[in-house]
Amino acid sequence: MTEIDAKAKETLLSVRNLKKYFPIGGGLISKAKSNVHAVDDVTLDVYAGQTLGLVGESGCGKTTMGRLALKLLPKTSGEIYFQGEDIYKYTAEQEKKFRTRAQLIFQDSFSSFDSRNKIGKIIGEPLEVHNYCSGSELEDRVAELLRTVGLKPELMHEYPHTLAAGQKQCIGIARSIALNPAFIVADEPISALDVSVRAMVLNLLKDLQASHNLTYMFISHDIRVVRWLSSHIAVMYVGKLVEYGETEEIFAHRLHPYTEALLCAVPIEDPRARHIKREILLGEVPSPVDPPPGCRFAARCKLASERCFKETPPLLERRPGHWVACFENFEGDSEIS
Amino acid sequence: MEETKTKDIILSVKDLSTSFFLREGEVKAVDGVSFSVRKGECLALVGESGSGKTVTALSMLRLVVWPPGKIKSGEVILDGVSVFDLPMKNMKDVRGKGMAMILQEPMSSLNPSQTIGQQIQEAVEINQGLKGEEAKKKAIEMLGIVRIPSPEKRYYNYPHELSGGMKQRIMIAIALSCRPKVLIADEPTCSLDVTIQAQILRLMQQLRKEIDTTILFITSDLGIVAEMADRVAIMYAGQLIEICDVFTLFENSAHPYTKGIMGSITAMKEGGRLNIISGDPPDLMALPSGCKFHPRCEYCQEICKTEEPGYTDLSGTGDHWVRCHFPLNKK
Repeated sequence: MTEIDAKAKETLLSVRNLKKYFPIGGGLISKAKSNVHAVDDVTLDVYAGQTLGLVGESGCGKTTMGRLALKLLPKTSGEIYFQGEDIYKYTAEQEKKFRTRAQLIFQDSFSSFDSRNKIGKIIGEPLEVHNYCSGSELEDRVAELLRTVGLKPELMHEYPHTLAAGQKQCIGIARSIALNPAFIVADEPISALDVSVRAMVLNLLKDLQASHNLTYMFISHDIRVVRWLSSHIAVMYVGKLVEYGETEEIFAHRLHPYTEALLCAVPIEDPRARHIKREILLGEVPSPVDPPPGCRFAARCKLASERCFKETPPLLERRPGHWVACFENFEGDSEIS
Repeated sequence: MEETKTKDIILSVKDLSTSFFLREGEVKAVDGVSFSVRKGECLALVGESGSGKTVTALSMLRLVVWPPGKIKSGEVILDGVSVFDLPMKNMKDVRGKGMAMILQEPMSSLNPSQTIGQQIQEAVEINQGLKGEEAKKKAIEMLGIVRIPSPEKRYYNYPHELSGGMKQRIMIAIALSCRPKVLIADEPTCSLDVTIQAQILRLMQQLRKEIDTTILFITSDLGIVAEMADRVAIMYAGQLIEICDVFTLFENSAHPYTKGIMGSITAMKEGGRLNIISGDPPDLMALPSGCKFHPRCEYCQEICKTEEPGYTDLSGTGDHWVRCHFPLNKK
């Protein structure tokens, strides 16, 4: 699907042993009673010009991971390197530069806009804040951005509420590329959209990646969409990275039982595929509040042995470039493609 | 639009129109919708948000509130009874025993101050005529039927003590306790995670086999359609634009809108560029003249702009209807 050129594999963002715990309970003086382990010891790389798809169910920590990658949250421990520099050790000046290089696309763009501002102002604001341009130059740049995302430049004089949902998302995308960033975190950018509009936004994201040489961290719960857009996939489960590697490699060899279950859970869009036997994962996602030791998937896993409940499986490279956190020698064999 | 196979039909909706009268004008949420549901089948009602799927279901149960909503015309015949001709006080027999509905948001549909057991028991008492211990036993049995572990204990749980997936199981148990002729499921899995969604879909498939229910399944997910439905009715801008069996939908659909959304699926699988239906979803306050889809349709001709298409029977047997001047199906 996505051709990966070995030479072009330059790392833009590396995450090393990243942890983020949210304390709950406790107060001003008393210590926190417990911690939500939102992101727990995650290590991965995002390559320049490519897309890392971050997939998992609600509460798996994918959004927190995205926010950490943009330094929008303080971390608990670990490091994130952007072009070789630790973003949590940036000087004020470096940080300001980083804010222009890394951007976020929200799930619900509309609620991230100030609804009293016109679209021109919404898109132009980052340009003003970072002193890129002003006056008529600013207006030209906004018009160009609107055209880039497939909208009419005249829209800059309208208010966002007059737009359809898909157009609002395009405005969000236009704003995020205004400063010519290198890296964009897209947090479920299509999950609030209707089917006929989704395709338009996905195509746009892919086109922009090619024309603007963008690197994406694409966060989604829909593994089909992630597969379509991403060169690499990271599967998360309750704060842990369970499987990570190139997209087609992961689809060809599902080495973690959860990845397999996630794939099997997606309804197949073909009525003739109904006969295909698929294992339905039982149970529910456990709480991320002070999770017990061992593999977090163990309670729902068919293969779980005693060891899985006691020790945390480390993330190991089981095939070239394909990392898995599982003690068992599992490989998924469902007839899904 | 006439159905030829009339003998198995348990529910038929004829020319249903429901509008909301707002200060800004009339919103035609449902506009002349007709379809029938055959006994024992699962008919999927498919469309994007605002296409009128839910309002169709609410109209069938006469749950559209005036003001601003009003059923303007139409007929709903459930097992020989014309629902709209019944006095309002008799509607309680239709809601529940006739048609029971599973809603999108299980949390906001359950009573937070009652145990889930009591809520199921209430449905059992009203609809099955059981009382006291007997009804309680039945309620616990229902919990088991929807695969809730240790139902005797769970009977005493309050809704907030359950997860989203569990709550949706309770909603299904309540709906089934009514022993409805038709079960209406309104996007029952759209607030759930994908592995939980798979569990609920699997449960509904099993229950369909076990208790032979007729289901009207409202959804916008074509994957769910492929897994659950026998027949499919596609809605666009308040109108029904195509009705056919699920295999025809995926292999030989005729309406350009249906073809468009189907095209995205293959492209998604093959990794190519996705099919785009150009333009925006329709504004129900300002619908175009002629065919409601014509501003977005790549096959649009002059006639489409002025004349609203009627229904064409493509199969000759009444199984595949489309509302288009120039249907695209392979002959």
